[in-house]
Amino acid sequence: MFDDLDDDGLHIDTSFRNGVHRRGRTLRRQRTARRTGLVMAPLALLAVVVGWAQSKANDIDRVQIDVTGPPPGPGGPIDVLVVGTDGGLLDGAEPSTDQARADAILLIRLDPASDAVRILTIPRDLWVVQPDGSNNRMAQLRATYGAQGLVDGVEQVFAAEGEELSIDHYVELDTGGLTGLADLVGGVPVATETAIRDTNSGVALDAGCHILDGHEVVALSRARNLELQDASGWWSDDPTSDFGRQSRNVVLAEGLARALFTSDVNIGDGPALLDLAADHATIDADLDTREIVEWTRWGSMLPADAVVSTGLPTSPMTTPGGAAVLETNDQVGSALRWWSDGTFPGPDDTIVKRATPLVTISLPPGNRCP
Amino acid sequence: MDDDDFDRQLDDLAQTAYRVAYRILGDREEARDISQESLARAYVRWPRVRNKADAWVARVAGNLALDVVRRQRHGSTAAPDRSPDHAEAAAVRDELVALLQTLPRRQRQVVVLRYLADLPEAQVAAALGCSVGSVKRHAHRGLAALRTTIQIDAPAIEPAGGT
Repeated sequence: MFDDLDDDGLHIDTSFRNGVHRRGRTLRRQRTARRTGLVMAPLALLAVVVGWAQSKANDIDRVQIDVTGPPPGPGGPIDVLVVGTDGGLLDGAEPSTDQARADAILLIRLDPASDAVRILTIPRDLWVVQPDGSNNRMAQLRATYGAQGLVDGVEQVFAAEGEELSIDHYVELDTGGLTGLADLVGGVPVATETAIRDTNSGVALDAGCHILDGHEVVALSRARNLELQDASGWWSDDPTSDFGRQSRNVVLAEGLARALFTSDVNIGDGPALLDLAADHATIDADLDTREIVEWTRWGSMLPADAVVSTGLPTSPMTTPGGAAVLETNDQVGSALRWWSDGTFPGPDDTIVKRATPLVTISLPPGNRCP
Repeated sequence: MDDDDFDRQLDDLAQTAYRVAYRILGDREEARDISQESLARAYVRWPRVRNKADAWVARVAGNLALDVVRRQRHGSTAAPDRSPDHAEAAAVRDELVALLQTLPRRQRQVVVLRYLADLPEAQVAAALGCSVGSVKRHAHRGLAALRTTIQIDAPAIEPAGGT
């Protein structure tokens, strides 16, 4: 159909072929360098295992994921998939760890070169292709195909945009772990413009600034039937549903990460963290204690505003079976590039700094309530 | 051997990537560079892309070519040094690019793979992880949009069911 736009084709000679291999080797070296980069995680979910003595290492559940490359050393950024599962639910409906779904999916880039931490939250209801060729929610990949399935699913999001992602480490926390972690860092400060509640998830907050404890963080992160109170005291449904939930979880993730930096609690000390990690965390088999020590040192020197986040840009869609799910939209390429290099290629892309204006919560100035 | 397997397909894949990029940009050097970059990216992750390599490099080439257009519009790179096109081809190319940038993402992907890379529907469906029917629907909508501004000799496509 567009034959008229063609020329006589590419002349492929030795120079071209050598150029492909040369550039390929360069990309491969960069990839290896990134994987071997100085792995330093400031993040809360990683820091669960901070201070973790070698003698305790065997208490943490390990999972094998497809991470290749040499052991960590000085270098560039590293990518960590941090997953909060619905395993260990507090209401007694506890799925086994093996069948837990991924409720919160955070792709975290730790970039020592620019002293930056970028978080990309990926919605659990993103509609993806499973290894067997059928479609399902991203959350279900964890339950059906385990950690490796989820890692592959996230990498697939990038591959669909022609972007390369190779996840270096995997950290998973169940619900009890998220609760305990939020409590350990002294709570997560958030501000709400109006009173909000969700009778299903159990969250209920007045308008104003709050330090959320672990239970409140989990309840808010799971709230998909939120109600807002207007000035007259009337409660109305938040129409944003999972859209709103996703945008709130972006704020919560950033708030939790910032809380780690501003926390007065030395989370690396004491038995509570070790117990929490042993009871609620699963990490990849390649993550060793020396790396974690290095992460902690780096993270402890970062200012709170070094942590920035956004949500994967998505739009609602209905599957042929009638399920309400999400698919990536036209802004996703810009968001992935921002996450990868921290730059915005053009003025049109600034919108991805926040996935959506639908948030009903925000982080208070200085990450502290007055 | 992965490298041998890649080398065997290199020429065909390079032509695919070049065709997509040239149809968008009309610039031989730029299209050659994009073809080379697309192939290098495929080389790095060959075990994962080998089964859908044609579509993968076509999509990467399309994205890279549209990135070039975007950078040109933002003024960070010079306008393409186009090969001498017929005036009609140049006009079609400009309108094609403008339209590709406004199409919804899925339609754009289908149009690039189906009509710029000339891949069969089944291959496009496999690459995008969707059904052939879905490819037909997106192709139908994409072509309808193209026809509103471009005089193209496009085949008639029956839209698959659904919206």
